[in-house]
Amino acid sequence: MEIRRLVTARWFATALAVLGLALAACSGDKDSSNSGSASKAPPEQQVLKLRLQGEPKTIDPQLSNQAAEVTLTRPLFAGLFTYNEKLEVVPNLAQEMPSVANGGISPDGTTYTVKIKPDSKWSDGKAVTAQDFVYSMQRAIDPKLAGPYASFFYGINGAAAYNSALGTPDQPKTPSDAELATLRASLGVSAKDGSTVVYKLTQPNPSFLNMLALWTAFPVRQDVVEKGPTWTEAETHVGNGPFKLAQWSHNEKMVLVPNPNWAGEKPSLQRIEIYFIADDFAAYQAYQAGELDVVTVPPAAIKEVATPGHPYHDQLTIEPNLATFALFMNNKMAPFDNEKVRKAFGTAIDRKAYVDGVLQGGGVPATSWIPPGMPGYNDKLGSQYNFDSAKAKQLLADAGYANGQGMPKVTFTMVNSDTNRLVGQFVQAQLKQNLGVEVDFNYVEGREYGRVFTQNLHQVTIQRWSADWPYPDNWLPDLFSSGALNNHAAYSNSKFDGLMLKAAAETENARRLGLYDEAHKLMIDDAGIVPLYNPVTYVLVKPKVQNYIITGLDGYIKGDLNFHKAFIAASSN
Amino acid sequence: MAAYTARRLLWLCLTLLFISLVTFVLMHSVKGGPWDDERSVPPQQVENLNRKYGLDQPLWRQYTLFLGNALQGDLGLSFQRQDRAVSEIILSGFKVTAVLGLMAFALATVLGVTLGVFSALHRNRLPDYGGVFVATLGAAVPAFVLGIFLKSVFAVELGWFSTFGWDTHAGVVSGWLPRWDQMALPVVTLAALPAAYLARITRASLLDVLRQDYMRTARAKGLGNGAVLFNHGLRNAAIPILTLAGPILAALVTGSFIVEQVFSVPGIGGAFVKSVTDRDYGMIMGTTLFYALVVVIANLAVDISYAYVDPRVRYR
Repeated sequence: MEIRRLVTARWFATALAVLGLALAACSGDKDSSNSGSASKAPPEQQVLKLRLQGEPKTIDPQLSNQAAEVTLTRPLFAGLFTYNEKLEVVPNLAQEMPSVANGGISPDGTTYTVKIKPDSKWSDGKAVTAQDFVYSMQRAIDPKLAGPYASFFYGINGAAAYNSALGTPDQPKTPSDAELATLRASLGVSAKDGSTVVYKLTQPNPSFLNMLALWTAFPVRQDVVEKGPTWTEAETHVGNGPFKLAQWSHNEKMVLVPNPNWAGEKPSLQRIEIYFIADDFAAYQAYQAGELDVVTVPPAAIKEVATPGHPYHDQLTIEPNLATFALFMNNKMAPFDNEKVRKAFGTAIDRKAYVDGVLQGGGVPATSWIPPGMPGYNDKLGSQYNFDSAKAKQLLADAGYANGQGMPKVTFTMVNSDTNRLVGQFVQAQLKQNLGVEVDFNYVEGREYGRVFTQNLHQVTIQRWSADWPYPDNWLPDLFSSGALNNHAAYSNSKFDGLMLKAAAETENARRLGLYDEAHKLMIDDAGIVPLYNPVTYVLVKPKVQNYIITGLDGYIKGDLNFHKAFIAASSN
Repeated sequence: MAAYTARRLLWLCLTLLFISLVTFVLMHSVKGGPWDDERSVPPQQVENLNRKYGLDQPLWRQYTLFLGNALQGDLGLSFQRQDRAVSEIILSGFKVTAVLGLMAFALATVLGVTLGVFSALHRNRLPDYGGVFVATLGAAVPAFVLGIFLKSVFAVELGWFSTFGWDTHAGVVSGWLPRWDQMALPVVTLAALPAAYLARITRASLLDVLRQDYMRTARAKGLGNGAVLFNHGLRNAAIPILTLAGPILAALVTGSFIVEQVFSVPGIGGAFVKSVTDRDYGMIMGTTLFYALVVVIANLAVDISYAYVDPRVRYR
């Protein structure tokens, strides 16, 4: 009932969007390159108004995992490493990039020694020490904290043992406090001196610096955290990022101001106001009314805004996400245990019609899994799955199910949302028309979808994967190795497994990428999954906001990695 | 009277206990738990979460623990809000919802009664048709349509009001009311439907009263129009209006999810809906019991006042 009413609301919102756009067309602002060449407005005008889709669960780095949380950890905290605009890892608080040559990485590749820049400070003026990083990593792994990204750091000596100390739901364990303390102390992270952190790994991992650039590895300070779970409130929060938290009115807004003790590039913005607005269209209206400076364009308005000549056209940035949507067909469940059926389904969907029609331009057709914009991208992969109805029908006939005759019933399981309902209608029609197959769509609640998908109970779904860091090891081993934790296509190929082991042990970058590419091709050719498209985000930025840099790794608020570079331009009149 | 009240209070406790048990059972029988997400985490991380929030205990133990704590006013921690206390989240959300509801109720009463009187006094003439038309419109247009419409015209195009928010830090009454430009549209949107109801009931009730003999008598003894209307007409017409006003007030202060959504008002409606989709067990139990308590207390107040008026009720 509620859903139906909301759907109608969306529909009405769409109609109003068109109306609003038509009206806005009469009074558009001009000129905007956002390139950063304009002169800066005085400090009191350096205010940026942004939107988050709701109250974030937390801003605690070790407890964050959703895009809405990650997006706030980046201005408020700073790790040893971060990403530049090309998405390469660069030092942030670290003095330099560790390498074998400068002694930062041991010759066997298992010990990382990182020196912290001497002027690094917390927002209350105290120095950031190596011990802060040691404490934070212990905390990230601490089983009692139950941090969501703990397992990403299992490559650190002793991390898996410490994080697993309480056992599993089937086999719980009850270690004593002394045992836990011992496990914590034997974790492979230590302070060599006040400003040198040492990480010891179980085996070489060339992606380890990517992991240190993850928000989970950002430092927090023990004496602050130990004040209790409300340490993240504005009154008690202490961070070390370019900004600090000045106000957090729950369910309403957050205000960030420059951290006076930040030693890096000084932010020009004197105030970032982040409003919690649940509805996409409400946020778009707030942008139209001048109450927000940056907003993601809702699908209903994409077509208009993207049309040249539209008043907002100059304010538009189209940012490809480091993400891919694909058909996840359960390789262990009939009829998708038959490779030819998977290939037939993968060839029967017109991707261009999908992204243009259903998504209103919110994606770019793709047949390879690793998205463009990061190492490992290979545009040649999967071209055999380009839309071809005749070929698809032939593949299905070869599989023994000509026109779907005798094929087991196929049901898609999807999260119940407006967009997914449109996707469902489209895919149903495509498969009927191009393959002669009738499929069902089962729409379920988000948590129920999570249960079905992660336990591989689904027959087929359309699922997204987004980059945690831009390297193929975040895209292949954990998703397609036999029995791997996130292998929810239930793909299994021993040759692929072998390549993953070889790639993990390879420290030379070009050779490593070569191994991943070989495996990537193998999995695509097997139709382990069949990619559909890479999502893109349409972001509007007011012309007065300059040097606003958006990257594919940004969290919920596009631009979060580089808020400190943005500024408000002086008005020209 | 004391015995009657005591008996009712006992029933209140039993009702709440029953509701908590039903909610607990339903909540745990829905498929998909609080940690089920699109991305898998290793089983040891699931166990860590279960331990942290006490979900490793058998269900009966979880329930009795909840009850024990709830009796001491502790509704537990929210899974989804950085371990903030459920009671604190509910109270801060309810404060906003209730203030919004009271404002809307005041506006609806003034508007509705005025419109109803106006219509009744101009019965079957153009002003009456106008009034009835407005009232019918108010009752027929759903809140989200009205809200988006008002926002598009008065906030986006004309720029008179804010499109969103409820910032009580810099408001009309600090800590309680936001700025006028934030408050106006949600209050008007929420008030539209009850105002329409009140207008219709006022019109009907007043028309009925105006036909009564005592009205003719009042006029006959030479009273002016104003005195007849206010002292004799409205006073008698008020009874059905008041009967309707009670439930309207209760509905307004507890529920305005759609309006809260359209105008990004940080009330309790959104928190309740989100707690269910997130399987935030503590929040589900807390909000359900809170709503139940509000409704039960409202009913109790009505019943006790009946008993006060009508002695027969006490002995049943």
